[in-house]
Amino acid sequence: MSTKTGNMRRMIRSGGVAAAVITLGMLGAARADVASDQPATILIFPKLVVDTSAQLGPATDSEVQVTNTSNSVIAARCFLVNATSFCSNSPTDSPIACTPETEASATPRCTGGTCVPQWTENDFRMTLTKRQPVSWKLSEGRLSDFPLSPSSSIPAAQTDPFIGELRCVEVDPSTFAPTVGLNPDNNFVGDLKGEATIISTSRHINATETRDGRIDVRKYNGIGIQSTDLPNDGNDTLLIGGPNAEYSGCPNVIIVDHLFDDANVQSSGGFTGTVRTDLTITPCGADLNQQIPNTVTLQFLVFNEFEQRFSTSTRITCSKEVQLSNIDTRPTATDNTASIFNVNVQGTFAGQTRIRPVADTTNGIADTVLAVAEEFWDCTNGPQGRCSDSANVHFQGSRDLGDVMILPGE
Amino acid sequence: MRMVNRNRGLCMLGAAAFGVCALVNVASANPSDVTTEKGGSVIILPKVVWDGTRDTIIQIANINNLPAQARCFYIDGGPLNPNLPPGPTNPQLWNETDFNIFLTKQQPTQWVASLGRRVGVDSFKTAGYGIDPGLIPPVRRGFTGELKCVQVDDSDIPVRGNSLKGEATLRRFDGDVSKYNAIALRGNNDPNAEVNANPNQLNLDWTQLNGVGQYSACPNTLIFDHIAYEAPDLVVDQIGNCDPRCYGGTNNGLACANTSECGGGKCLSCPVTTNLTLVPCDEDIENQVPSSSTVQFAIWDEFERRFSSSVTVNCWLSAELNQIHPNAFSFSTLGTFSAHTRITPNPGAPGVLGVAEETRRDNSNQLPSVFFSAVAAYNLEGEGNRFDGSGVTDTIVLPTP
Repeated sequence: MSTKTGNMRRMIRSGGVAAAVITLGMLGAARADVASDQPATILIFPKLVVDTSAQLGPATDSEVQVTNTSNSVIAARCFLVNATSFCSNSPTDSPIACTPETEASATPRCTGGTCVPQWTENDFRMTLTKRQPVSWKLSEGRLSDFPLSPSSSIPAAQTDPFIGELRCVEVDPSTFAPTVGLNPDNNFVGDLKGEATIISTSRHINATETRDGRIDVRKYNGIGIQSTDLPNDGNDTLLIGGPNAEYSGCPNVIIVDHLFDDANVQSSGGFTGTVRTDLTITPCGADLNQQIPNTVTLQFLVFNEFEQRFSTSTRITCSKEVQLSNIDTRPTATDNTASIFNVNVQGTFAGQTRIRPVADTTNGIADTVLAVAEEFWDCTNGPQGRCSDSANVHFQGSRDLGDVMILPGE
Repeated sequence: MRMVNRNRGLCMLGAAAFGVCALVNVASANPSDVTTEKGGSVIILPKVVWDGTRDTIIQIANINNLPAQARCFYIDGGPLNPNLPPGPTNPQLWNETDFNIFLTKQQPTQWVASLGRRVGVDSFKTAGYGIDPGLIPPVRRGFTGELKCVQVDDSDIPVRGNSLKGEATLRRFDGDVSKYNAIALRGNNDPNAEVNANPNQLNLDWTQLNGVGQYSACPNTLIFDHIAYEAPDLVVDQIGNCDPRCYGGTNNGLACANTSECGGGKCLSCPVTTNLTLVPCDEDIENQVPSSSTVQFAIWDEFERRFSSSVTVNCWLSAELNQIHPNAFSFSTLGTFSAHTRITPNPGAPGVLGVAEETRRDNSNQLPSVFFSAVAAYNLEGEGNRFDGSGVTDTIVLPTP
């Protein structure tokens, strides 16, 4: 094992602050960002799905990859947040999962009841040696065969179906206290990177189980929040942006370029099919200790190819996946043609949407959000006639105010 | 940027300067990095395809409140003889076709590579409806290459406005889709930034330490996480069907117990494969001189075991990992499902940029030789930069307008 020890970390934490600042200054330490294309100390996957028995859609599972990009041993404390909604009238021992879309459909799953959102987290730790990648299937976790670290284990998703997010925070491998990164090549901004792959097949479980081989896959990069060059006090209250920020502030505006819902795009060979876009949004801050989700108001500005501008707004709590056309209408397909995100309103195929979270100036909280976009296309190859892709959204600017992520105590 | 440099000097004076440094540093994310999620002055879509099987839907937007225009270049990386692999006797075309686009404030636009976009009056809810960005030519059938757009002013002189963003969606004939973000080079709009005698030469030398550089220096290392090549798909094994089948050979598609039964093919259970596309950062489009960069691959498996390989990127490289090296990326060598690969150009060689595509398969085929598959693209990550890390100044030389 040729792994280096965390000399920089120890130097900072043992009081050599001035020396560390000088060193960082020489290295040009002004780097700190929220990015899905660079390693970071906080890694967030806004959307993960498990639905192996195809209750809410095609049979689906997620594969998560996390890597230590540094030459040092690092550790991470991870939090798997379950945001699946369940029917209020379902049996306690076998809850029935639901979504706003299923309940607005002709065959709701909560007949006689309501679809109740929830927000619970499971946390786990992992230790990663130098450059070590690790991957696991969300429905199973990785309990017993974690490579090179018998003390690390990853639990399975809490429920099946599961819709939720994963957050991992880089920590000191000996104390498990939050820390800065250990890689001088990226100015100690963090060492974690990751990808999430969501895979669906056409498995059907009715009277007779069938699988016809159709498959769909989409993949996106985990969103990283990098350490700033201000001291990280190592406690469980992570200051994300704002004064005394330990971590870079989340973006002021999120930019999503998309095709308007129901645009019928023709590509080569005459293949045509409509597309819709789902957005999964999660607040940057979270109180994982008290299990109190953040609520954020979002303002949307929508531009079409004529430079015409429209706006709408919505509120999210915890995290939310929503089809664009359902942001300003009810979650039913029948309303979509009246949405400003729909081609039937805009006429043009391409749209650009700028999402601005409204800051909580009363309490001095930035209330910023992160997001990932997914497109669902008509196709012949995918399960339930649907093929999907996913892409990270764009960021613009930062805020004077910050957000706070509070971890459960060790 | 100069302010940052001055304050970095203050840092070196000692701890007394700590507060000043901190305030400046925290307020600014690093603006000079190559990015896939912020606007840029040069955007690069490394993989654009219209080969009869897959087509590419291109989206570009102006993210600023002022109009923006750009010179765009399709660069054809296909081989001269499409029936043979590229090589010394079958060089890549490296033809470029350029066109201009004009976007009003915050305007998005889109077109399909095989169709282009014509200027004219189009009907509501049709592909051409909207302010046409200009006449966009279609690519030839068989095109495999990149699209590069450079923000320019009214005189077609490059300007560093950082107004452009983009996405590419690769769509197969059966509807499967795979999407990635354009790679953006940020432009340094500091009035003190260096000026070239040839305004059509773009220096990729803007870094945190070189505040007078012009455009983002390319990453020193690309970080590329992937599933080991031909690793069995654990997810599809659970929710699909991964009974072993022959891939290739005389018994392609038939059930098998081991590779010896496959007549030259392989006996695999829903193999996960990855394709890597790389383009050099350095390009002389004016003189049609293709750039070449030899890159080293350092590959780690889950047990911290390290393997290595290398390849030369001439103009444009798009290859399955087992074509880059038959064993170094493979599940049979690595033995673990996930792998971490660092891609570093040789000292003095141009930087590279890239995108990856992962293919997943289900073996429950109804016809013996048909496998269902799906592809997902994802952007690579970067670390460091070539200018500071290796002293390399990549340049892009545009044709004189």
